[in-house]
Amino acid sequence: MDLLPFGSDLSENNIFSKLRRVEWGMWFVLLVLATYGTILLYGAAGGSWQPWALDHIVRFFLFSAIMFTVAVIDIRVWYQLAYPAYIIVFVLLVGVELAGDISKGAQRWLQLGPLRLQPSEFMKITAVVALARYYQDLNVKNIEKIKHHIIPILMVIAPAGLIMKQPDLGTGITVILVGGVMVVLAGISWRWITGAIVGAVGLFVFAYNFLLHDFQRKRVETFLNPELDKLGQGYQITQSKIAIGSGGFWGSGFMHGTQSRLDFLPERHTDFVFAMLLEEFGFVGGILALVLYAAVMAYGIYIATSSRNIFGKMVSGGVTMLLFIYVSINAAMIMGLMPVVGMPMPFISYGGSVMLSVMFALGLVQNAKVYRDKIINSGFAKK
Amino acid sequence: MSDIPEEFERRAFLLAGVGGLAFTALIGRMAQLQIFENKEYRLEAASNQFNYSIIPASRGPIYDRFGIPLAVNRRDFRVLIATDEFPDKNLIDSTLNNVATIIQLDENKLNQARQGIKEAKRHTSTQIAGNLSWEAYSRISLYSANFIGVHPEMGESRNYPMGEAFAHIIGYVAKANDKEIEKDPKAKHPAIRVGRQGIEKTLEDILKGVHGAQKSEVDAHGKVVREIYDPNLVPKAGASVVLTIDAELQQVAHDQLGEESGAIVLIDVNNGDILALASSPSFDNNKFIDGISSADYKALNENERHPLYHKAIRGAYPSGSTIKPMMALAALESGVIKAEDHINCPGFIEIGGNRYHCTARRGHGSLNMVNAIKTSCDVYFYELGRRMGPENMVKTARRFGLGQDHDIGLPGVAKGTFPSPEDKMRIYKKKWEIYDTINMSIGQGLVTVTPLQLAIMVSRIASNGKAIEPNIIKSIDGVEQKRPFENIPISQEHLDIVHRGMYGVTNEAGGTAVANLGIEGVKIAGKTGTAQVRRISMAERATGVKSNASLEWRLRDHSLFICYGPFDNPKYACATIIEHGGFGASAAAPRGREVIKAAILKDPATLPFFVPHNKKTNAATDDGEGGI
Repeated sequence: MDLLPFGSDLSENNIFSKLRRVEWGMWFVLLVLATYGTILLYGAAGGSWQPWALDHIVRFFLFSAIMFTVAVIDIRVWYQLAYPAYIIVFVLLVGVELAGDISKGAQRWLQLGPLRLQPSEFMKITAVVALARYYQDLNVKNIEKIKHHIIPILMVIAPAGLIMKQPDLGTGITVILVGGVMVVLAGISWRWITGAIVGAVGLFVFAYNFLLHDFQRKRVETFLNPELDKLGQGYQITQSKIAIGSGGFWGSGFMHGTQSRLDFLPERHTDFVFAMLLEEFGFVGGILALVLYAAVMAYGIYIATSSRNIFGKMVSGGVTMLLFIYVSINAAMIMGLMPVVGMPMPFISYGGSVMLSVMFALGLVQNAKVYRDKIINSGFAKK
Repeated sequence: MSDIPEEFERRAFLLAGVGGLAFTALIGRMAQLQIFENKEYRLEAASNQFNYSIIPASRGPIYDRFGIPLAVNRRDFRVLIATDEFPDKNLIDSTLNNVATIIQLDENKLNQARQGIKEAKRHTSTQIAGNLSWEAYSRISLYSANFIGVHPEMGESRNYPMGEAFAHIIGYVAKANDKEIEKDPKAKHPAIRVGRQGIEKTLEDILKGVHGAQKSEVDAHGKVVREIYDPNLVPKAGASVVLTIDAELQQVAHDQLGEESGAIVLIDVNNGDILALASSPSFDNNKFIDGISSADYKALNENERHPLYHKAIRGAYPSGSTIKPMMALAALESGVIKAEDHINCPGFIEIGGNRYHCTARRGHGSLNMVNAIKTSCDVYFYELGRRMGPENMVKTARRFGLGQDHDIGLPGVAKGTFPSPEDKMRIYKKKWEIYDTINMSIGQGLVTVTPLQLAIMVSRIASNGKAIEPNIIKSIDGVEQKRPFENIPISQEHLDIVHRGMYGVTNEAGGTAVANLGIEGVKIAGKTGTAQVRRISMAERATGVKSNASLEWRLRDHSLFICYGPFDNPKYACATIIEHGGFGASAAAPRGREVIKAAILKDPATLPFFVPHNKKTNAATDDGEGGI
């Protein structure tokens, strides 16, 4: 049982000392964001706690408990679970491919007895944890050699391919970007990074022409020129831009956003909630939200750099990237800089499963903070 | 082992930097949309948010001088369809069929509505049916909530209660054309009409008022969330217009013309008020309001007697002998003759190798001026013309309003022709010849006048030289339209001679139109005219000039008559022309006499004219507020 580093006190291992080591500042920023979201959802319902606002804030506290639970569980447990979890989720993804439910033209859900699962959502986290474990186990000497990065790259591309085939372009790209950033962080040589970027551009051109479904291609085309089809594909982006643009510097005021109120803004409580935020609270309110997200990410980077084990570093880095992708893709999408992909704004958009997965992932970041000084013995896994 | 965290840290901060750049780009985009393009997007948001439904302004009513309504607005229940509001264009036809069932629209009218929808411009409502019964309107109002884009509307439609008698004066309204809609986009509303002819056209800007709109906030599904009151969008009713016309006398003139093709103009000689301005045959201007059928229009347009033509102001005819009193004045003023000087009429005169005939084949013998006017001796006036020359004739004719423009407030007033030798050279590129002088002296040849000009001429003679400029508009919105005029510098002595001659025409033995007016102690003075339409050949003259009765209608002479009265104190002047009516005394004179008799009996100049109360609000909205 000599797993503790030399000189560490057993008392540090009790629940209170662990909770003391939790990054409370980061949680507080999340609370502010969730409150911001609650206010917006209260307004979106025309000044009512139902049906969204109350759910939203209750979920936040509920999932905060899960986050803290994840944070205080021994980091080695997560290390141990990394591969089994990855394999299970991967199998589920294959299952979706073979026997998934089709909803809204996409095959994303898997019915397992009473459970209705969306394995692609889990893959975002399990891929992060699995890659973290892989690099934890990797001999530092070998980090420069490309052959040692082939396995993690395959670990990313295989599930991402399955997800994109569902088709769920947004999640697929997310998995690739998060995995890619982790490979970069792990220390792959810059030559290969450059090569990968060039390759990705080539692949995109190839995918656009041969792999993408018609509706995905249409989304890309709409993005390039949304005015082409004002009532069809481009409608959402056009209306979203009108809502944002009409908000101006100070915004039209809480519950005074005409475009949101009058239903011109699509899905104003989910994917397009940030557009409503920008309409009602203006440029100023938007900056505030982005500053809050940046603060959460800064905490993530701080934890990643201060962790003394590779596993914690990689998990924090990956999850921070995941959060960054959510925020930047959603913001870019609603402002007409990107095609419309199903990507919510974490802590502001209404929706339980995304909030759960993000808070679970941030729980792992907190976990890396709590176990910052833990030296994970790679042999531990092999015993 | 220690260089790995360092490399990790470096890369982490590098990636954080990239992330920071990405956030900066997002903020830049936010600034672009929210700060730099804010104005454009605010406009787009507003056009998303608000809908404007047009409320047509109540068109100004038109009255006669005593307040008899000539153009009014009738309450009209109608139902419109706004095809823009249909998310699925395939639903339009089924909706149309449902509406047709509810308001019991027959197949014919339903097809018309379909056609209207097909021809309608974008963003324009189309009228499915107008003039609905109260029951049909109530039914469709009840059910319209279930249909997208179906709008029952309570509005007004133009109506001309006097119909034919006033068709040429009032004109008519019709749907706005593309150009007009471009000028005033609100005119696209299917109930809005624009003046096309007559007063409706000349006073369009005054009559139409300012169209308004109901601003309403709508959601993304086109559902009205609330209605917004905007004082700038309240429609303003058009101004009311009172004409100088006396509807009663107009009706008399109209009836007198009957089936004939012609015109009668009656003027108040002291101020130029046009009391009657009738053209015949006429048409029902009500038919034009909702668009006249092409068959009806063709019938009107191809009628030999040109019912659509406003003959009283547009028809230019040879004046014939009606010009002689003015010619006598011109001769006296130019000093080439004295009233008591006699000229012998042997039945013809030879000038420049040509022989010019008098209407009296055997001649009138020796005549002074008064008798020459009374008997309408051509030879006497040929001689006057020869003596004074064209310049003197043209100079006086201009003073009496011939060959002149007269803006009486109606469109299409003709100028007529009374050319000087220079005018002839300019227009026809031909030198003035002596026969032009001779023809001009009896109102033939190059001379053409309108019935209006004849009335002006006789009016200026009757009033001893008041150069009245008639206008048909008495008041706009209760404000009287003054028309100042000057006096023609002319000798009273000369005028008296002409009055004597014209008195003789209608009252003395040998006059061409002697008849008793039938009012005790009241006499009128007048002058007949017979305007030749065809050229009489030498051969025909040798065998005897054909009588009018033997000629086909369109070759017969025009029959003209001018008069004024009462003789002692002239108040009214009248000009009558009956196209192809033959001899002036037979067709025109009796009719003109009846009209001036009616005017003298009623004496409208002594009665106060109508002042409409100032109505600034829109009648339509007034009703709407208290309405259903």
